[in-house]
Amino acid sequence: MITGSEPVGETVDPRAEADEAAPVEEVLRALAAALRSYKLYERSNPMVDRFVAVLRQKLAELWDRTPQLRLQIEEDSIRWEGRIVYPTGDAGGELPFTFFKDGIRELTILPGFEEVEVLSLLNVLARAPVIREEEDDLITLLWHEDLDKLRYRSVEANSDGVELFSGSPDAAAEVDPEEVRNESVAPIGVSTDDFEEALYFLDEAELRLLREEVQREAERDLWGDVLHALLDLLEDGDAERQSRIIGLIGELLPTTLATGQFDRSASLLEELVAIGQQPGTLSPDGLRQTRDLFKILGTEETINQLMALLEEAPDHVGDAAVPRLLAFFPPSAILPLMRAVERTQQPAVRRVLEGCIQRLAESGREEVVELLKVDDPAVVAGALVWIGRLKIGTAIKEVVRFLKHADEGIRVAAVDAVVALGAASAASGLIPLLEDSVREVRIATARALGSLVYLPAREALEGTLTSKRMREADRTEKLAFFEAYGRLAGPEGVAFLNRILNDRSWMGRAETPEVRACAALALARIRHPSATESLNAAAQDREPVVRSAVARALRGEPA
Amino acid sequence: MITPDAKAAQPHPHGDRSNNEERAGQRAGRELLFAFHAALRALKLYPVENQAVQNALAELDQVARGIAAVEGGITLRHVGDFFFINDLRLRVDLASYATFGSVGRSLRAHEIGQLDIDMGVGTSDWTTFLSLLARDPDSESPFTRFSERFERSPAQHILVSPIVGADGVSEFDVRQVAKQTYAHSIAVAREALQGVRMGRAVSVRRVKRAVQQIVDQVLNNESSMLGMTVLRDYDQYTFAHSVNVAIFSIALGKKLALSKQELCELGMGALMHDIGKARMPIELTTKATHLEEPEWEVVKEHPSEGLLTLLEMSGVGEVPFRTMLMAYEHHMKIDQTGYPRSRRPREPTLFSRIVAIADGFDAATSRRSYQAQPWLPDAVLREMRDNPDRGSDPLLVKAFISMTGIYPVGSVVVLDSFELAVVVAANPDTLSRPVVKVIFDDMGIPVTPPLLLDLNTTRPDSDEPVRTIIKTTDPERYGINIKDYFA
Repeated sequence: MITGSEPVGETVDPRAEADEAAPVEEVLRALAAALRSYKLYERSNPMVDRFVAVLRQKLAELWDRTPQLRLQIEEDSIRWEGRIVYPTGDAGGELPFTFFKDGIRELTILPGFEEVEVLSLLNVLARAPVIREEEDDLITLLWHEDLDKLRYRSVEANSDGVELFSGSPDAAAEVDPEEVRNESVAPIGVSTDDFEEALYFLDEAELRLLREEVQREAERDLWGDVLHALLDLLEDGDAERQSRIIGLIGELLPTTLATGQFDRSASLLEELVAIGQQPGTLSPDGLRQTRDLFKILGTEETINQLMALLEEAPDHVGDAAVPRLLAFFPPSAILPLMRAVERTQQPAVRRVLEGCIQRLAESGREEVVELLKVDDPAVVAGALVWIGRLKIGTAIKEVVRFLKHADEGIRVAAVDAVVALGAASAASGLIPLLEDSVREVRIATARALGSLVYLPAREALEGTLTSKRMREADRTEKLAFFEAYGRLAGPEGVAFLNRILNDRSWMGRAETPEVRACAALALARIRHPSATESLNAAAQDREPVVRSAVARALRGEPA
Repeated sequence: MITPDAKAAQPHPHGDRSNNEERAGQRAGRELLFAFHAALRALKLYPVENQAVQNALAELDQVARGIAAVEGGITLRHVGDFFFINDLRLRVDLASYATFGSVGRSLRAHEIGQLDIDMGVGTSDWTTFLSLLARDPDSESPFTRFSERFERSPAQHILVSPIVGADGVSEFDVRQVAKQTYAHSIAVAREALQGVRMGRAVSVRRVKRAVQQIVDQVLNNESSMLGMTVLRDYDQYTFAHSVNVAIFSIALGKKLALSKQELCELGMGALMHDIGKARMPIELTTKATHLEEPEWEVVKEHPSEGLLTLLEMSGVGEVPFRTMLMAYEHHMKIDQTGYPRSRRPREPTLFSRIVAIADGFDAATSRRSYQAQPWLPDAVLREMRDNPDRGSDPLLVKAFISMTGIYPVGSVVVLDSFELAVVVAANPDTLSRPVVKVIFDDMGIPVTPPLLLDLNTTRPDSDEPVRTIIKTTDPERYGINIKDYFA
């Protein structure tokens, strides 16, 4: 039995002492080896199990000799009963310092430690080298592990300079017993309540209330509490404090967004706006800082992050708070929003973003026109669309300029914008595009001219309708051109169309059935007796395609 | 450069990292997370052979190797909503919040709290790791399952660790440990408050460690720890008061059956509840005499300053919101007639109401600025119970009294034997019969050593209690220094 105490006056046999320490040394060597294996191998590695098994065995054997193992930790060694028990033999020296550096000076291991808690200790020790200053240290980690069979004593740095009172009752003087008796006779300040303990014991209902309070506290919305406090202070604070608070809100906002708290983010911004609108509440600096915060909100990076968040968690898209949040984007956000719209693959996200663009464009027409200067075809095309939708007539000159742009998407968007603006004055610029190299541009142009009823284009259209290119064009393009002609030429175009529909050359050659069918549908647009007469003439045509088109035209059905 | 591992044990890094290093570290960390996010996203969308996936993995590998080469390895930790790379906390801003959040969610889904990436990391390691990360987590044991799969893979240069979190306790000694804990906690409170006053960084970890010790002591040795609260002296009042409020709050929290983790959080807030005072002019917070109205208006700002200080001290994450709210709300009163005044709906948190009671009790029983003559402990309890103007939560006051007893530790009482005694511990079952030390006999002679008496015990020959308290008395009246009996 290891007792740790020696009879006074007896000579201690060094060999016997060494023998007694041997089991402790073995435990510590086994602990160091197990720890090394924990650091080197994955937990599932059989090597780890083997080392842990050895440690467990050594500990179990030790309890036959001593009821507990109390170890003193020094910087580079561990002592038991005053003897160095680690490092010994070929053991390394890291183990003592692992404990020592965080202030542990004594460890007591109790029987049973080897069963479960040994693994907790190894886990904590394996983590120790990577513990960081802001988070925890060995002691705070051990505190969390709640180990029953391992106790430690630690020292704390920096309690120097705190002198606690260290008096002595011996210093007390005698008191006057008469004064005590007199005071007791007139017990001022004593209430009979003091002896009515029931007044202080919590009854079952009160205990239940308190338990409910604890539960509510655990579920409490602390974000809301903190943000409300900041907003209260913002309203009541001086300029310096307002500046600090707006800075803090700027730091908190990304976190509320990142955690999907759109409602909270939107409410926060709504409150900020409301406070900013109260006359004299925010200092000039505070107002400027608030505006800067909203500007940051509209930057491309911020919007990209929001888009990423929405795309990743589609549930958020339907969150009613999202449009509220987007409502705070400044007009400068139109550009990044347009780019985002181009990129997103999700229709729902696109719809949300487009809603935001529309609102911004409506309130920031100048910003929309400014976008025409951006060197990004997708953005310019988007801006042209919005110029049309918002009928920003003042931008017509810029729009016309884009009719000649090298990018076909921009040319189409410019043509559509001319139509949307109803700018007949700009229609002359469209005529050359009837011969554009890109089909989509030609179709958009033909439809635009028809829609604008731009009569000067009649001659150019007639030339195209009978050209070789038109015969080779697909049906959609043919139809677009014929219908445009029908719309702008009116009754005066019946003769031209009738020739195409019903005439044959002197050699009996007619136009292709598809061209004739398109002419029939163009006649339907004219809605004039002469057009009906022309259509009736072709009602029994031998070509089914023509007959069908004529029949639909006469019924007034769309192409 | 991100501070290397070797610096982990050094003082708070925020204080000594140069701005350039900080910026470079932030940039590198951000690049790593963005590359991580891009690679994970690509793997979710396309098969691994796809060129986009390969490019994203190569990019991630390049960024990671670059950092690992400088740092000697990378530890990427996800704590709460924050990322740390080695010991640098990455700042989340409007240009990164979604990416960071996404990476965080992916790791959290598998309950992964930390990645250790060594210098040998390569694309194949990332491919394996991210492919597993992209899978749905196991519903019952996400980390264990992930870890098992990952350990079976050939990846060798990435280690995963789980999210940490649990309760725990330790205990070693009795009175000396209580004293040590008390002295150390005062030192920590002083360091924190003076640090704020001097504009220095405050080590939240040190505060946490001190609070953990107080929690241990209150859980295992409550009366000794409560006894420490009488050792405060005038010179150290501000710091000792913070510690006393923490002790009383934790003891009351224990009464309410809060978990150890909750007690730790409560203690953190209690210890730092007056941190805003460090932003007040020192001549006001230490003024011996009554404050004039304008001075009082300044001092009343300390809860607001406390909230802002704690928010500014740590950004979001290191100091819990509840802790900040304890600093902000502890003078609000239950009926909201205190300060600061709230414009928006507010009900002080339970923890704030606890701290308010502990604060009020300790302040009233102390000799301190603005109060030359302390109140007697039992009188304070009665005042808190009976005077609604104090604004204490009545239910919590009742719970507080059931914790301290009707005669709190440190009270000097006159016994029916005309002996004088000092209360050293409450009796939870008989609140008017605490454990006392008889310090003067009925002749006025000091009892040396003082006689320890449990007033809940009865005389051997009858059912009568050994002694009964007649009343409390002012120790100064008899020249008694109660600290003598707790030191």
